[in-house]
Amino acid sequence: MNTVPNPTGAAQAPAGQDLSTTTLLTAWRSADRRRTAQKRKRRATDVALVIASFAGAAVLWELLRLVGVLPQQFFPPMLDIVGRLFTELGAGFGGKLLVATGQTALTWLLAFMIASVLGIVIGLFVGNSVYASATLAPLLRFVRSTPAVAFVPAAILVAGIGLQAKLLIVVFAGIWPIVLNTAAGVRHVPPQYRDVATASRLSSLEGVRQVLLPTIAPTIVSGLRVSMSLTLAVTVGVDLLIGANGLGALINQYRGVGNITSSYAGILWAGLLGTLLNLVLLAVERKLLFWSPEYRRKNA
Amino acid sequence: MKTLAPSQRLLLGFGGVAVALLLWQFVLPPILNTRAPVVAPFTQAAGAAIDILTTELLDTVWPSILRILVGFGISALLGVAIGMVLGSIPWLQRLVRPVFDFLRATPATIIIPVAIAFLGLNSPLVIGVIVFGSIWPVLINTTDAIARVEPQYLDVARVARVARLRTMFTVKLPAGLPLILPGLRLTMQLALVLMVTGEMLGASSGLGFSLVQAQQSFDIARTYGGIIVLSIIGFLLDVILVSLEKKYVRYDSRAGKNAL
Amino acid sequence: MSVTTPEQAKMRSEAPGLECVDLRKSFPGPDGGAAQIIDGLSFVIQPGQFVSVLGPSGAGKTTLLRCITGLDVVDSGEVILGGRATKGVAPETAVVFQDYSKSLFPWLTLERNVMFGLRLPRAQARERAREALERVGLIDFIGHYPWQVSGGMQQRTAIARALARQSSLVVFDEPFAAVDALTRIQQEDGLLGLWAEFGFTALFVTHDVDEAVYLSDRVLILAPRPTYVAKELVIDLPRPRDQVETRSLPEFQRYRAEALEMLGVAH
Repeated sequence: MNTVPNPTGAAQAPAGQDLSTTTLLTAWRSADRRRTAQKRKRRATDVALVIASFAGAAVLWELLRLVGVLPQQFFPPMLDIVGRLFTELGAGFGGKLLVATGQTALTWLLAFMIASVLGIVIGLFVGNSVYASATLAPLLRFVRSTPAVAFVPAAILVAGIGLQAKLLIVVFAGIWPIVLNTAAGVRHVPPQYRDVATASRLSSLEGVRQVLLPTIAPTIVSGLRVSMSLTLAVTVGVDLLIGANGLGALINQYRGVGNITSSYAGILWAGLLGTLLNLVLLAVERKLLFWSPEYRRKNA
Repeated sequence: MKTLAPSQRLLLGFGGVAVALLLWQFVLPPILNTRAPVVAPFTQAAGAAIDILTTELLDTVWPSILRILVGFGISALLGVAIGMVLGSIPWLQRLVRPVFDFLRATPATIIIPVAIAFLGLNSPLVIGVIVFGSIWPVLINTTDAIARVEPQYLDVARVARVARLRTMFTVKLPAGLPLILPGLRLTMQLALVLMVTGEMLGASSGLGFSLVQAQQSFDIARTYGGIIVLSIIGFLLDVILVSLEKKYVRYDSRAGKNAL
Repeated sequence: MSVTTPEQAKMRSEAPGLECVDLRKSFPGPDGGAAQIIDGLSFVIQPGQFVSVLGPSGAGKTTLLRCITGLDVVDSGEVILGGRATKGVAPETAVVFQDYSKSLFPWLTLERNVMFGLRLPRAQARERAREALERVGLIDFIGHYPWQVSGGMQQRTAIARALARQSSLVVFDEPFAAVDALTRIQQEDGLLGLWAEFGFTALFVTHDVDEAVYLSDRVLILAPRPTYVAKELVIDLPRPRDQVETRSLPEFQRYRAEALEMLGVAH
């Protein structure tokens, strides 16, 4: 007597009958199809929700403009803003927007990579050694609560007003969340994992690669996420302050000549870029960390 | 891993700070000041910092402190309040979430130019920029925290027939603190950056402004002294938030692993 | 056993009968249809009785509990408590949940947890809480936090919270399922002692046949989903019950065998 436990309720085998493999496969396949259809429906609803959300925000913007809560001279119509964005983007790399984007993107990418590598290395060192941790703790605590932009005037003195000055600031801003999270991750590695590595006769480099890094990867990634949004904000801030090139400088220029619409278009654009980066990070996270309990819990 | 005695940690910590200061005093200036003085040794910078803190307390330091406290205060209160409302109304939360995530992903500093056009200069600008730029971490974290309260806690409250509003403040909010407080720290970080940048671009008073002035008039000591003052302010604010977190979040063993 | 205090007398005289009349409850299923969890469930409990609800996992015991206590609304049927049909959560009910780790608030001390929800001035509430914690033997831990004490102690605190409310109906949702075997024995006897002292009506949900027979006056056996009361067992064993003596009585074994057979497990 074979009854197959069948949570989706498809193809229930009558008691007393043997199920052939084909019947089983059919049952499973139709269950799979149903699940994919459900998933597709859910994704469609998500997309519709996003559209509705932004549409609603645009409507709200216009309403507030009409009523006067948002004074019309400082808040252009949303359609104008979006239209201006398309125009600027349409100019391609001959136009100012994409050039400035490229400059800012380059600065940010370089700074973020440097901060990540340095941050992880320092974090590993600090996390691993109780002495290093104790020695550097008060210093780190003090330094990391300093707003990075405070260093801009000093950086200008030391490195002029080019890429180097900007890099100095942004790296400084972005490195601390990574250091802290990496160190914390290392500190909280369950001792059993070290035992596993030793028992498996891994050399210490292999041990780091195969056991340590995957274990602390989720914590590091969450540090990277914090650092990413912070460094973006600081990069734009540095653009604004050291004004030679970049997105922030461009938007400031627009405002300087009274071109508010283009300024808003720039803000919208920056938001899109930030969102894009966020999505990229989420995708990377999913690829690398789908196995970790924290990830699964967050995306239950 | 072994643990160190508190006295050892204190000693090592002091040692670390001392070494850093020595480097600042004796190693950095000779290396960097080759062509022109660009780095002030620690003693000079410290002197300038003390100057600022004593003689210019009201002119320079106070405006900045006021702005950060008011700005952060509004951000925190608004963020938690809106978060509580959104967290309790699932459909509303789902509706606004995409736009909020978008705003959260926007680099906060980029609103400063248009804000100058709209809000003018000095404190209204700085405070406005702080609020609009830094509210997102605490707002989103609070929303998530309230929406994800352990359902059985709510059952306990319902069985005890506690009114909905009371449940919000006696159950949902405390239960959400492990998520809300780290959000507050991120908000504070952003708020500080926005305050300094805002002052540098759009104010005629405050530490940010005086830093820019110092650099433009090549007052090296002051350029670094101002950094020290801002460090102290940032450090004190962080200490306050961390002690709040320690006090209210110790019960959550998961949150204890939170480095940030 | 002990002298009846005024509060205990109050509980006993006001202990309601609990009556469920033809309850039905369904939930929307994953495929769009409806899953019928409870279908035509009825039973009556006399005031002050200790009644167990026995059923296999997934039968719908928790749903039934939530409907009785008012946490969920039935589709049709009535829950009558002390002669009155209930709407929502009745004031006389208290619940002891299965998952004790999510039952007490971690930001409150044991004392404050027991005080939670009591509609009394602060001093009186604290006294009530202390008495309750004393009765469950935790008076030395009132200043501790739930995560500082063991699972058994957390569950006892949850029970103290129910007692502090002076409820006349206390519903237990498999409270000892997640507790280790030795502690469970102590807890069972502790619970019986409290029940004898306070005289509340006890509705005890469990999947453990031995526990159900040991503790109760009657055992209601639930059918698998969609559930209703399939069979009822009247347990006529002497009180007070004893872990060794009662369990070795031939009657105990007979009730146990009957219950297992009704559950479709034994042959």
